[in-house]
Amino acid sequence: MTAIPPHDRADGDWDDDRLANAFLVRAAATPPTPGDVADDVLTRLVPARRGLRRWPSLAVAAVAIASIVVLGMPPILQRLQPGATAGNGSASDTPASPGQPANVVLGALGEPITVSQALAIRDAGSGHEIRVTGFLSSMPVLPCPFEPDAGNPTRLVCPETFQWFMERAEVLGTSSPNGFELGRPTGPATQLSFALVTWPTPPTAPDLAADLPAVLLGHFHDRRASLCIGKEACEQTFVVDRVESLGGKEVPVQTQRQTEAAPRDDASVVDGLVAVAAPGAVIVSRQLLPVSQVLKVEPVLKDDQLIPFVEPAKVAWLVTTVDLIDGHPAARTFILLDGSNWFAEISAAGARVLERIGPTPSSSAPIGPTADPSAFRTAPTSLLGIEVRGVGQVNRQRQLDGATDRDEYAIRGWYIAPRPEIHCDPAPLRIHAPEPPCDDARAWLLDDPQVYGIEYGQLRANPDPGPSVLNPLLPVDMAFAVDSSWDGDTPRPQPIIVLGHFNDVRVQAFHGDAYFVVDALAWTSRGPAAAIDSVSRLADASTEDVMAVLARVNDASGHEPVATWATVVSSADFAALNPDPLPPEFQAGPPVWIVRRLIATELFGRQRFAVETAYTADNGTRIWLTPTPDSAADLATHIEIDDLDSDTTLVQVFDYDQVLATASAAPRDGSLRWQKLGPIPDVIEVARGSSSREVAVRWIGTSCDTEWRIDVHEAKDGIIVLEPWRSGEPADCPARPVKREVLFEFNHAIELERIHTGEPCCG
Amino acid sequence: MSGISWENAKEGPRIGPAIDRSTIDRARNGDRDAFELIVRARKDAVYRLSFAILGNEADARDAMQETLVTAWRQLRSVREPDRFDAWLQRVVVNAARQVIRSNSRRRVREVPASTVEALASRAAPSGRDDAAVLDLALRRLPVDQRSILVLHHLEGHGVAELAEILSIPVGTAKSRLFAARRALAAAITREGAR
Repeated sequence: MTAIPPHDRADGDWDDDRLANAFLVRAAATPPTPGDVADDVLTRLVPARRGLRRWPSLAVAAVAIASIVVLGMPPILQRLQPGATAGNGSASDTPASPGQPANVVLGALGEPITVSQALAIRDAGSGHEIRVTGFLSSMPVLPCPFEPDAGNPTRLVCPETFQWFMERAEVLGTSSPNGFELGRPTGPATQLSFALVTWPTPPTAPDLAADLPAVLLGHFHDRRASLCIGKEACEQTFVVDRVESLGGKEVPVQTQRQTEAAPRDDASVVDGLVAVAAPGAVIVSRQLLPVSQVLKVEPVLKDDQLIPFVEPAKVAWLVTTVDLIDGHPAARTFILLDGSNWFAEISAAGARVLERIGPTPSSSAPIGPTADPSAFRTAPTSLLGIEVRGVGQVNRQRQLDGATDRDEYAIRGWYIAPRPEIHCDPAPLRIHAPEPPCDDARAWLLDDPQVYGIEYGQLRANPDPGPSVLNPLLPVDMAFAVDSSWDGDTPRPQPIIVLGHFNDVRVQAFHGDAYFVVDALAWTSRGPAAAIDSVSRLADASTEDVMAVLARVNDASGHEPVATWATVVSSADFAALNPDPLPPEFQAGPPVWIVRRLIATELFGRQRFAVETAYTADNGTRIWLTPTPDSAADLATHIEIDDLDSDTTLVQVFDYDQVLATASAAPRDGSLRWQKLGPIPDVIEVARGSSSREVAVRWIGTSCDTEWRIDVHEAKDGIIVLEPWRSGEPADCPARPVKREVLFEFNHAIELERIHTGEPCCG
Repeated sequence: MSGISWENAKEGPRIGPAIDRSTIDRARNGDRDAFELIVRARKDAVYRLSFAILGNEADARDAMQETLVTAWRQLRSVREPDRFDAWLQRVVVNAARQVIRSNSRRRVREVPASTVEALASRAAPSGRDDAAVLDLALRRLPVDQRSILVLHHLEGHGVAELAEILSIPVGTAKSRLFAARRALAAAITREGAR
């Protein structure tokens, strides 16, 4: 417990200890955690939906025609021409690198050196790539403790700390009836990191004497050592970039897989990109791993603008090469986010983005979709009082302000629909809530049509602080009449302005807050939309006049909307369209109206526009409404009792389960016979009314707020729960107790014993 | 099912049994089983904090539900899984804010006049009485002040941790805590329990 400085103390009597003790005692009275809440949530969660059908996308380009654009602080520095002399870019997963024609890099590496020679290079402070011959020590099977922060390839942890690469074969382990002991080599030796390659399996106990001859390619003084706890020790680690031979047998260049996920790109594509970016470099190893694991291999990317934001389930390729740097062989590392255009070289300074763009039929042909840059010349700059902004602007603001709000945005961008022939498998229901489709069926909203096709839609694809790409979700009950954005296989981006918001509660998918849900199409190249407001009829049955519905909602809301989007849906389809649980009254019976209204509202002192949502049955009288745009819907329809008594000007009775016929002030003519109720009998009393359906309730207390609210619920066992609430700040109360007496007429006979009023402290 | 252990203590405020980094990573990847492990390990802490801030079961249930759904939807955005608990507490505080805002009302607190008189007449209140007075006083405070007081006095977070949980600068956390303490003192005075 942190002590509060004396000047911060509440007062002399309530010192820190007393206050802390009071908090603890208060906390001890916390009721048991309700078990059903967690279970309900877990049942409702929607997992991340992966691509279900492979799209012959731009990203899966044949390597021979891949292009690379170098993006640096000036956005585009250089375009590399494809087809440059490749290192060992082979189309197979295991290219026979050593068998390729020797090039200058291989020549510079030379013949394998001894461990002694390698240690001399280490001690000279060199980080050059070297080829070393020696013996891998045998290893017992070791129980290793969990290492939560093993996030640097140069930092050795168990079991690597017991592995040695020795100049000569030495017996390090000795077996005895009590187990075995491991010693250190007496001759020249170094310790190794196999973080980048598959760890060769050395002989294990009981063959502890059988060391394994090997030729390893690697280096000391790895760039990652500077980010390692204990930098000097980490610089001494020999980071293995490739195991060239084991036991005298050549080991081909391998892809170390740390994921079962099927990549979109294959090794040949990756090799080809590397070959274009680093002509002449020799690929010595590859890793295919989930993005969540990338930082463990490349901790420098922790502060990168991209990697921490990429969906961790995505897969990345890490490729280690050896190239000539200043005439010496040295390791260079490249990363490709699988199936994307984001390709970069990683150095000690971070990622240098080499964004892939392709395929291109020829190097002189236009790349990607094109669009008329003047298309937005006549577009509005604000809508309904909301500034029209670009995709990147909006994403940047969300990054700055956090991603939790549901502000309405007007976004201008180039729209590209999913290719017409793409269908997800399984197909979504005809009526469904906004949800991310399979990857190939995503819609695109772009500041620059040229970046169409990058795979991580919500995420940045270039060095700008904010991504210029969104994959908007288009609800099934939203009219979206945009000219076709496809001409055969050619994208025809359409300039549009849409209204919408993030963090829609209907999107219950993993990472559902990131999706932009469109509320309305406001403008296209043909001009402003005919109307922002809309009515969508998803129910077959004839329904109530929409104006009557809107008037009903308007009365309940108290807000003046600037736009209204109404949908009527059958009760059978209601849950599919609106996954947030609502009471049973909408799950059967007449169609349900969902009225979404854009209102001016305040969020923590900031004015904004946001959507409130109302629900009402067709030809019904009751309204459920979100009290604020960020909250769940609550019953808005209620019975009002004005001037209940001299202390109470208004009582609102909310009949959640439709058990009441009326509610009114209890008669004060002495006709009621009050009797005690509940564990604090001097606070709550009940009385029988003039029929078996009438019950009067009297609350006695010190709360003297002039406005009250009483929630009425019927539990499954027929218990009636009356929950009184007060509104506003508590007022100063008179010394005398305040009595409130309300007469409830139920729509069925009710026994007095079935009346409950919740916690004594809270009514 | 593995993933929860008591051994692997981590940095930062921890509010329940330790959760393996790998479990959090899996949950960040959208692994529902891993998320369920986290929920099982943290639901008591989430409810306790919700209840401490909001002071009644119904609101605490709402906040707990909102917290768990939000955690699922936003777990991917956790940049430092080692600071997961701090992040989760921030989600709880935000959920409590939303519950308060959506209710825009307070539950009636009916206490018999005799109880209030008894509280006022006691010269040396016991810890349990103090708790009742504290409960009354907290209800007079805005949710943000309640949150920072609960995080400090109940959860034991220092100013730096408060800053992290609330995503505010350390100096701001200190001044807000100071203001909350002043407000609490005034509320205690108003409750007549000194």
